[in-house]
Parts: sequence; C-alpha cells; structure tokens
Amino acid sequence: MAARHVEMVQDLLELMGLGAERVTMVYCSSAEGRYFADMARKMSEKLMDLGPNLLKTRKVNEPVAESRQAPGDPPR
Amino acid sequence: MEGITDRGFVHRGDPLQLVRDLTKLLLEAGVVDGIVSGVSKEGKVVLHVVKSADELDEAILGYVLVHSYQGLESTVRAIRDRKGDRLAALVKPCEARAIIELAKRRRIDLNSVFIVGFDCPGMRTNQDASGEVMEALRVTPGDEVLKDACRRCEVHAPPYADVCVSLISSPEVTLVEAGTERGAKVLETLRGKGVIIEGQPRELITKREEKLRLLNERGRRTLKEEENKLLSVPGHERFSWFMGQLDACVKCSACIRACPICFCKDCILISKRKEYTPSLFLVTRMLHMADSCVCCGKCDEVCPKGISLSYMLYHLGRKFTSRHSYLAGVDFSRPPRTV
Repeated sequence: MAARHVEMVQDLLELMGLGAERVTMVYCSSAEGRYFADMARKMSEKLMDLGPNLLKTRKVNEPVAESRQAPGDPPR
Repeated sequence: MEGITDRGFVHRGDPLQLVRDLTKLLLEAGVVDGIVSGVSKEGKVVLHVVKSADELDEAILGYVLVHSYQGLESTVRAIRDRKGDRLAALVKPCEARAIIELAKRRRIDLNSVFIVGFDCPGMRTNQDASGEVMEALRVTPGDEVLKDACRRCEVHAPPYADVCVSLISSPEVTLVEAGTERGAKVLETLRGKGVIIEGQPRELITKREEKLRLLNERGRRTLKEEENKLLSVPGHERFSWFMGQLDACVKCSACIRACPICFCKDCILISKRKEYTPSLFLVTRMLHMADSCVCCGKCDEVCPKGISLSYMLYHLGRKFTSRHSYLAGVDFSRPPRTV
C-alpha cells in the first residue's frame, strides 16, 4: 500500500519536472542496521549529485493560473 | 453486476417527459423514497429531494442533469450524505462512476440507490441554460466548446446503471435499456403504461455502440496528445508551470467540497488549513485523489482562481491507471488499490 503511494509521489515529481529519483522507498528490517545506514548514505549521495531542490531555490514569482492551458499548448 | 441486457425499448417524443414518467413511476411503485433533483429558489437551482409524485411537477430534473446545481452541491454528495434513504438519481457517466467509487469505499450502498444513467457526449463550457436541456445529451459538441475535463473523458456510457437512457444514438428517438433486474422490472411496467414501446432497437444499439466507441476514442486520443505535449516540455519549464498553478491556490477548499469522491469526514486540509502552503495544499489533495478521479471537471468549474486542477489530477491518475490497470469507477468488483 505504502509502495503505491510512494509510486504516486514519484509520478507527481516526474510530472512536475523535479525527477522521480528524489523519493525512494527501501525495505529493511530492524536487524539490518548496516543495510539501513548504507541506503541512507547512498540516497544522500544521490541527492548531492542531483543538486538542490528546485522547490527551495526557486524565486517566488507572481502566480499565474488564469491561463487555463497546459504547457506547450497554444492559447485557447 | 450484470451489464446492459440486450432488450432495448424505444421512446418517441420529449425525453424530459420520459424522465418525468420514469421518476413518477419509481415514487409511486415505492421502488425509492425520493428523487434527487432540484427546485428553483429565488432564481437559483438548489438541491431538493422530491418525496412525493405531486412535487415532481415543480422539480427541475433535466436541467440539473446537464447543468448541475447552484453552488457546490452535487447529486453524488446528496446520495452520500443521505445514507439509509432509498434514492433515485439521474446521473451522467462520470457521476455514475463516482457513485461506484464511493460504494467500493462503503460510503454508498448501491442497493439503496436507483441509478438512471445517461449517455453523455461531453458538456460544453458555455452550456446554454435556456431551450432544450436534454438536447445537450444528444448532440456531440465540437472540440473547441467542450469542457476541459470532458475533452479527456474515456467513459461516455454509465458503467453501472439500473436504467440506461441513451439519446446519442438517434436524433429523434430515445433508447432505453435496463442494466439490472430492478431496472428491467421498472421498464416492464413503463411499457405496460405505454410510455415506451418495444421497437426494433437492434439497429439503434449497434449505432449507440459505434458512437460510444468513437467518443471514447476521442477522449483517449486527446489524453495521449496532452501527455505527449506535457512530457515534451523540458523539466524546468514544466516545474515553473506547475508552480505557477499551485501557488495561485487560496486554499478556499471549494474543490474539496465540490468533488464527488472526496469523502473523508474529517479532512486534514480543512482542519489544518493554516499549516499548509498553497502548493502543498493542492499536492496533498492530488496525491489523495488521483487514483479515484473520475474526470468530472467539477474542480475546474468551482476554482475561483482558475487553476487547471483536473488536468494535473487526471494526468497523475493516468500514470496510476496504466500501472495498475485500474480505471476509477468502471468495475465494481475491483477493489480500490490504495486503501
């Protein structure tokens, strides 16, 4: 169930152009401390490579919603 | 759930009269306790559950079906909020799908709802409120006047309906079919009264199927085109477009109240409204609803800021649909995938 929700978050990030790899889900048990640490390290390295989150670095410009048109659409 | 049976009936004349006769029969025969419809109040159409046949003359049946109500009320929500009452409702395919989605989540008991479903060729943006309302269900609107959500609609026939009324198959006559035993019984009585006749609808049925196929194909094509267009835009542009839309949100929660499938009793977005930023507000909503979105376009209509919510919601939901081959509200036997 959780996996499906995570998938959906990944889909959304991909659609928004942020990249799906910014969210990941791993399975590990409480006994797998080493594995968990490895995964966390790997993820943080990956994020370092990806660079800062666009959400945090973006300039907040005037929101534009009145144009009810999709990106790449000719004005309707 | 059984599908539409092969036995079709034909009605000649005003389809609005057919609806009146049908609903009257439902009330008189005691099949249902009330009909979800609208009444005119101070020049506005508001929701009203008609409980007796005498009241039916004042009820606005066809108008509600095509234009819905003033404000945020909708047929599906009326059914959901009146749990326990046996109600009949006139619905478009998207509303029928919403009813099924809610029934899967045990918010609606399908046995207590009598669904009169209509084939829908898509609604117009500037639907003319005067004149023949039912004509809107007969004539296929052109792409340029079609409502945004209807452009990408893939289901133009009610997937589950006790009685299915189809105006799209012919310019003069109305095709009436039963989808369930209950519906068949009602139609049999209606035939006894001479309202509908048993014609030779074989031809009409084929025509209807052909028409539906074309309509569904049109929706799928538009979806595909839109998706390709969206994905062809580079990531950062897509991001700024999305953020432009999301930041415009004023958290008025009109989309939540208007959505036929938003059903949580305690909505976290309403109770903790202040803690959410505009973009997070919409993102949370999207992630919650995407898998069960029925593409009715209500959210677009009620948004005071004109955010293309249905566009984002449906394209997100489409990914889910293709991955799990789960299309919201078309198959009652398939349980929802996220609860």
